[in-house]
Amino acid sequence: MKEERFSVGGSPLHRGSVKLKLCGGLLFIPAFAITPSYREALIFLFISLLLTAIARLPLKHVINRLVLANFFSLFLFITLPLTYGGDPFLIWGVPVSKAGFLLGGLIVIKTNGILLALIALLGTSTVSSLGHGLNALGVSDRLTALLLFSYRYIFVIEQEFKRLQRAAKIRGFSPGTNVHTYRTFGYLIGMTMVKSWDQSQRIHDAMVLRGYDGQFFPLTNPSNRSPFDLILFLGLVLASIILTFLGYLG
Amino acid sequence: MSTLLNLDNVCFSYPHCQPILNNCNFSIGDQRIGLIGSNGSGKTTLLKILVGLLKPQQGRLFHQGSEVTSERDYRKLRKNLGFLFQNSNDQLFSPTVIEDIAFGPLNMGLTQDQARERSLQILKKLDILSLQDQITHRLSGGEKKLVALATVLVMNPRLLLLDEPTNNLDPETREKLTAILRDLEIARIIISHDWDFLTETTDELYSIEHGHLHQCKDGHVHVHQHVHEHGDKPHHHS
Amino acid sequence: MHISEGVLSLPVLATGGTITFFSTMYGLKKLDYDKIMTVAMFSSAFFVASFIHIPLGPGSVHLLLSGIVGLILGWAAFPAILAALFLQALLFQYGGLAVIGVNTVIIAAPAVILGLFFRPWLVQPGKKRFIASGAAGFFSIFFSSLLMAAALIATDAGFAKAALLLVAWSIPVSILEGVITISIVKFLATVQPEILFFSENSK
Repeated sequence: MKEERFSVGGSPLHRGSVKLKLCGGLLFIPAFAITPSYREALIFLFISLLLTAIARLPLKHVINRLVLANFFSLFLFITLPLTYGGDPFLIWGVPVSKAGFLLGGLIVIKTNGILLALIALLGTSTVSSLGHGLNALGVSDRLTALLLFSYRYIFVIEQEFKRLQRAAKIRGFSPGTNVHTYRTFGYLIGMTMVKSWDQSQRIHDAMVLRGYDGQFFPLTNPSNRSPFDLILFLGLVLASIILTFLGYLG
Repeated sequence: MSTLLNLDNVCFSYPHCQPILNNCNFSIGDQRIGLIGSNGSGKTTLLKILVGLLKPQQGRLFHQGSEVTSERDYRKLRKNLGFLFQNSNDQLFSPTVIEDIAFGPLNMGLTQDQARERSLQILKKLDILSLQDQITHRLSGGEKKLVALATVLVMNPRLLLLDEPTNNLDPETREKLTAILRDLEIARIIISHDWDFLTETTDELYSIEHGHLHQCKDGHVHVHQHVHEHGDKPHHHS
Repeated sequence: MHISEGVLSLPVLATGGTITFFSTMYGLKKLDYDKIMTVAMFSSAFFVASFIHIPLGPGSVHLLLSGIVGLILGWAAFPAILAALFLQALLFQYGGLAVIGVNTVIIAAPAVILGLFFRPWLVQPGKKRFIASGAAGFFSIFFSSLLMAAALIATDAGFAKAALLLVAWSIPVSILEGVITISIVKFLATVQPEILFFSENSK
């Protein structure tokens, strides 16, 4: 699992203020998501591409991620033209719904544009700093703690599961479509849960020993806000508002 | 010497098992104690009772002369103790090193700046300042151990409880840990099977057998890992 | 089981966001501080499950495990699943931020409701536990697919047939999830039954 692949870099977006990136992103992404027409969606996409360029993201990895994340929109892009109804036109003798085709295309543009913006704006920060940013923006201490702890233990649990899976493989387990396979996977997952459970009790102990009594005080990073951050934030806000108005009224 | 902790006739057993501590008496002030005993003899259980992670089923625990009963007493007691777990993965739960170290000081009511300042000091002291912004789960086993020690030391404990600190450490980190603990002037109980390490970092030796705690009378047995046949066991040179 | 960004309409996104907001608040309120670490562990386990590929016929599917998460965590499954989905959106661009409310409702609502409904049976050995775990596993996925279809159709009636395809596809996956949930619960009941009682002494 290659986590936080995009969080390392020297671009202005990597160095930017997490709080402003979060605020901007949390306005820009929903605005992009609900835009009803091609014209505005393409402008949004252009801005996302611009952000990607500013963030100097490794293109190969970005495309990899997009491909993996596109299953759902590709499913719609393929099924909608065949199922949407309305005026059909023929492609190789197959009746294709024009409205369905256009809607599928719009969805593909939006999905990918939003993912680019998501990577460029938030992927360029670490989960830890995003957690603290969300906390500073009003997300409760408990939810922040939950988020940061579950992030921390994803890798421990994944390794644990893989260790068990390897052990099963060494003993000749080869998965197939049968009850034995499913039962074995159930046991492997159950064992992972038992180990995680035990570990969570020990970690809780460690926290109590260091004075934890339910109040969570995250260590905040000193914020460094540059003019670039403010320009970026205002730009995102303006673009979101103007394009939303144009989309629904224009 | 003033006594910090005192166990009075403490018994403890896990469900469906033989008693693991049986009328156990023990006190510690500012000594540097090594604790040995076979696997499952109750060494870790003893440490857990001292910090209140387990409660004695019989007998009493005293902290600076007064009995520890309520959760509030335990909280006060824990402020004086620093417990280093066997497995650092159980102890380091924050995303980055500096956050993990600042967790304790922040709980003690220090401000953000004070907590950061103090955490950086301790990192500097242990010579791992460069790790401050690292992601905890990506550290090596040795680095994790040193960071875990930093999370404990940053609380300024009066007594350190270390559970097999040199287990699975590379020789280099082991050396480093030995030097750090040798030079620290904090009382300690160290569980270990690593004789050389105990000789360097403790002055007295205790062992647990059949639920009882004994001091090995001849002071610290002379132990080191050398080439003759008793090199891995405690022995006396004639 | 993630709807991707840019598919749903504003009213659907807003409804999902609102339900998730209040359910998460409620779930967090019911959560004791000394359980937060365990809930975080389940949240990570839920995240990891989406990388476990299980063979099914000629291909393979990934697990969701929302059934077992709901059975064990009860209301706390809402914040746990929200946290996991946020991390998936951030680290792997699965799902997304604007749709996170809807996706959380789709996955967590059936899990919580089935969990609350079947938990009394879960703690009883024998047939009832077997039925409770199988049903929670099966219906959590099946109901999630129905909610997913509902979100799509509420956005645009033209999605109806595509949504039906998704529901149909979810049936074999639901069966698989049911079988695996039975096996997980059987394992936990033998090895560490207190996990199954996790929510019993909640506030």
